[in-house]
Amino acid sequence: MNKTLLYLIYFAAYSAILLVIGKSSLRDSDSVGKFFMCDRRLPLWRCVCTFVGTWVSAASILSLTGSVYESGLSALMFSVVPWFLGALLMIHVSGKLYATGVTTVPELFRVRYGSKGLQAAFGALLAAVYVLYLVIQIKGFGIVASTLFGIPYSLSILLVYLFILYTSFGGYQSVTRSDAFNLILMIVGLGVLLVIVVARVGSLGGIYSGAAGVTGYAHAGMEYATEAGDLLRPFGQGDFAPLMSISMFFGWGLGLAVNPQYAVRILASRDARSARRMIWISLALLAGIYFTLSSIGLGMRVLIPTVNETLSTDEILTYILNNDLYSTWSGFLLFAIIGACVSTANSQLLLIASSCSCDIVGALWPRPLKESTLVSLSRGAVMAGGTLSLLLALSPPASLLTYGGDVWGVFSVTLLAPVFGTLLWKSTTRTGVCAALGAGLLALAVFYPLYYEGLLPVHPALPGTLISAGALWLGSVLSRKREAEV
Amino acid sequence: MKLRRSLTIENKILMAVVGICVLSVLCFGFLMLREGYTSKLTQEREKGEELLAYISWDIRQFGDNVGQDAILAGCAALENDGLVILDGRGARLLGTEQGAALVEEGSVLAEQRDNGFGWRLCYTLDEAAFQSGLVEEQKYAILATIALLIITIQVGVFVSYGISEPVRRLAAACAAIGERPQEASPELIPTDVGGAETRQLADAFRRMLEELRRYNAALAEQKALNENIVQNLPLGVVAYGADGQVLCVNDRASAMLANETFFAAGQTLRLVLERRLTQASVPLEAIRLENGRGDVRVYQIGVWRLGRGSLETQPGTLCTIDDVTYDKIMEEKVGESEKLAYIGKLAAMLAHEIRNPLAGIRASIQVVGRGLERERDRTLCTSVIKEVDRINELIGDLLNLSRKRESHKAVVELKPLLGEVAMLYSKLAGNHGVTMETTAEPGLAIYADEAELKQVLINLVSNGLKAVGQGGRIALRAQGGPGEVLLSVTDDGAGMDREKLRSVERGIASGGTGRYGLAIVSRLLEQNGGEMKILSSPGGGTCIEMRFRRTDTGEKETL
Repeated sequence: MNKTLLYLIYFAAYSAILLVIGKSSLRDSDSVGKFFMCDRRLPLWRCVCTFVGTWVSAASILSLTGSVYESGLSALMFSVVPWFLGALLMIHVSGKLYATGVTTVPELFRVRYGSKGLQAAFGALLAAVYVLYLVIQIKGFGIVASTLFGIPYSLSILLVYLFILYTSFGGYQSVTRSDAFNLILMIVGLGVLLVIVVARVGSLGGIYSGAAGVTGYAHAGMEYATEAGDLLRPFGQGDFAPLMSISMFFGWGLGLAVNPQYAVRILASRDARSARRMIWISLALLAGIYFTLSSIGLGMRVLIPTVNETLSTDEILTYILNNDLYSTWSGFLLFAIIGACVSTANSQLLLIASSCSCDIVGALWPRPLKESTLVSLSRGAVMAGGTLSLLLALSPPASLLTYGGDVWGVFSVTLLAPVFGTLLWKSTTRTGVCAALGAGLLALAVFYPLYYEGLLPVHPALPGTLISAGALWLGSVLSRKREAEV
Repeated sequence: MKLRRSLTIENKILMAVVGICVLSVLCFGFLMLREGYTSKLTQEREKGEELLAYISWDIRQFGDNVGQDAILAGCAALENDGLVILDGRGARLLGTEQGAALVEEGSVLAEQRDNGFGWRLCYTLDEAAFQSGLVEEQKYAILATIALLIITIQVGVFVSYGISEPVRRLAAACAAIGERPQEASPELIPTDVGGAETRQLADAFRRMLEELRRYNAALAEQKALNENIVQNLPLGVVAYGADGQVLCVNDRASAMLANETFFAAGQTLRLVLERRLTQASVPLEAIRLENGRGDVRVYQIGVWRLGRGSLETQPGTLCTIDDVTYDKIMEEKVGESEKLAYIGKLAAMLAHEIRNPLAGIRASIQVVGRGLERERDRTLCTSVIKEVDRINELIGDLLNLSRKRESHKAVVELKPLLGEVAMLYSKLAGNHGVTMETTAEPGLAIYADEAELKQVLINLVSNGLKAVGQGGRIALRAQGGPGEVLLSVTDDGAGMDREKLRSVERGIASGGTGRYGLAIVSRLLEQNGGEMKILSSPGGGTCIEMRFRRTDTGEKETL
């Protein structure tokens, strides 16, 4: 069958399933509690599906696999290891976070310090960061859609509109259902791809033994060649150099630990125990997924040591799938990647919605807003946030993996100290939180330009997070007595 | 059935909207594809015909000069896979094997035979390659069609949701009201329900609920009043439905029916009542129930068939239960009193008549006895005199029992009275080695006839002395309680078993004189507003408890 026709059939089938999921979820989202949390009634398996589905994004599948293809396992030290360390921190605070009973993370500051201003400020920050991060998913979708149909990237990203807005309008119910479907699709797809790669290489062990001997340039666009054994080393060159990889814990790792897209999933669990179990089960599942992805990346490099095209890191997987490893399954695998992009994107759109409606408008509006108004506002915010990200995605970042770490670093610098301080340190004050936010924003303004200029040998989240934490401590210590009197 | 359930308003609207839109988009897409197909096919055919016309022209112009091989070489240089040249016998001169096969299958888009060499020039069409090329050419159109379909369905979903959601919310509110109509209030109807029609519907529901709330309030008030009346009736009231289910019961009736310790012919009051419900006629007499200890309850049952109003077709039954135990006992006591009074009069008359001859007999025997010489005869006379005295004593008791002495009630302080009785019997008790104890709170008093009260105590102490042996103990106690005084005479004698105790109680109830003068005690207590209770067990002694209404010593004037 014609390749394009086959992909079009996959596209139609995938669309039909998402249409059914979206339609069936619309009814269950007529209040804020249902729209953002499903009234905290989701079963554990759905929580796990949405947690993993949101976690595994285009950055994981396209960029991480591409990076493993280019630079080997050092890409894991740069991203996956910090993610898992961050998740352990998240488990540590999950019980305390759940006990607050809030719907959004910024609401925590209003509940604790009675400050609507802080809630609105953090809401605006979250909305902005997620609009930026959504670019990753749109780019990932665009790359795959462009590969599938042979259409220009700028046109292919328009197709993302068909899915992410529709699945987000149904709220958390719709998002979790589509996440479950996309996760199943992704697991099956990755499993099949791993089998194909292992079958072509000969054995799973053969992938790793073969990778040790790979030399040369991964593709025409690479700046450095691979030496024998490089692919299995924990650290590499460029972004994967030791200092950068270790300091990336402050970007990817701490950014994940405080990331509201996971915090919301903790808050939406049935109870604190379910939340902890959700994270542990998800981490086990994710360990399997990352093993599969890294094996696929290495296996592809063993099979095709050099791609004779000038490609970006994020395009490697789709290019090889559509050419060197093409089979009838390729369309399915490519749609699994699309599913991963959609499942992360709709979760993040929902966070943009909650930040805009509940945290900004809801907090600053002089009167309490009706639930139906908040839900309508949320749907409007989904539309606006999606469109803004789409426009930004027209000129996407070069590497999703490094870009994602930089965006998550914003959370580390601005949100980590306030959230962890509020949850873990009783002496944290409103002034301390304000100081942490202000210092964090200032640090972003100073260190990120230096980092992009190549003048900073570590990730900017490292100094930024330390400065923010210091400001929180100092602000709290200085204002403790005054605020206690008030 | 499942299909009917899934045919909600939302789905019906969705099917209509999506059906029309999808059909339109599909028709549009199909027409576009068909046009593309036809256009491409026409182009291919024209291209083929042009090519064949060009080759034919070449053959005609240069064939004779350059020969067949040169012409074939020129055609081969065109590198057109669709071109197939066959000679007059059908042998392939140019073209691929696949092309020749297509000619054999008849997949020839253009054909030319009119040339100088007699060749058959064919331009074939590889359908698969053609289709594939068509898809590649039309992929934007196909993609746009699919995208349009998706958008159409999504719009349909949102439109149907937008229209049906307010109706669904109204329906959900009505369902909630239906489940708990007593809590119905206009606030349960959502206010933001979209369009004008649904808002009108919501307003109408709110008005209806406002009316319903007023009606419910009035109904609740009326119901509360009725329940209050039923609850406060001095009767037990139970209403039964036609199926025997209890529809309504007041607390008084519940308490009576819940008591399962009283039986009439082995049946509790509930069973008796249920049995009577099934009977066509209801007996008029009261029901008498007894428990294992001989206590009695008497109930007057009334049964009315309910046949009006909504119960016309299935009539129920209303039962009233009146506890008439006190009335019956009083009635019996009055009868007993009258009987006793009559017997008393008769006995007094008889006693009076007997005493006179007895006095004569006694005097005569005394006289006769003095003249007797034999010791045996004198002893016999003395014995006869003793028997006469005993008869006299019995007659005296009989007279006392029957005679209603006028009581002279006053506030009697108990401590001195108990002391006086103890002193009276101290010598006799001392002789028998019996210890007498008195315990009384100072100032504790009752309103009674002192002489009668003293008589009561004397009788009881006398009985006690008979009951206890050497070294026994008799205690007289008076202690105050809330609004009452408990007077008791306790001995540590042999006590009575259950049978004996019942016999004594029966004796008191029947008004007999008995062996212990307890009937007199009972009557005297009754005259002085006291109640007596006998507590006794074999080997555990006997305690006679008497309860009086308490009177303070300062109440003398007010009484």
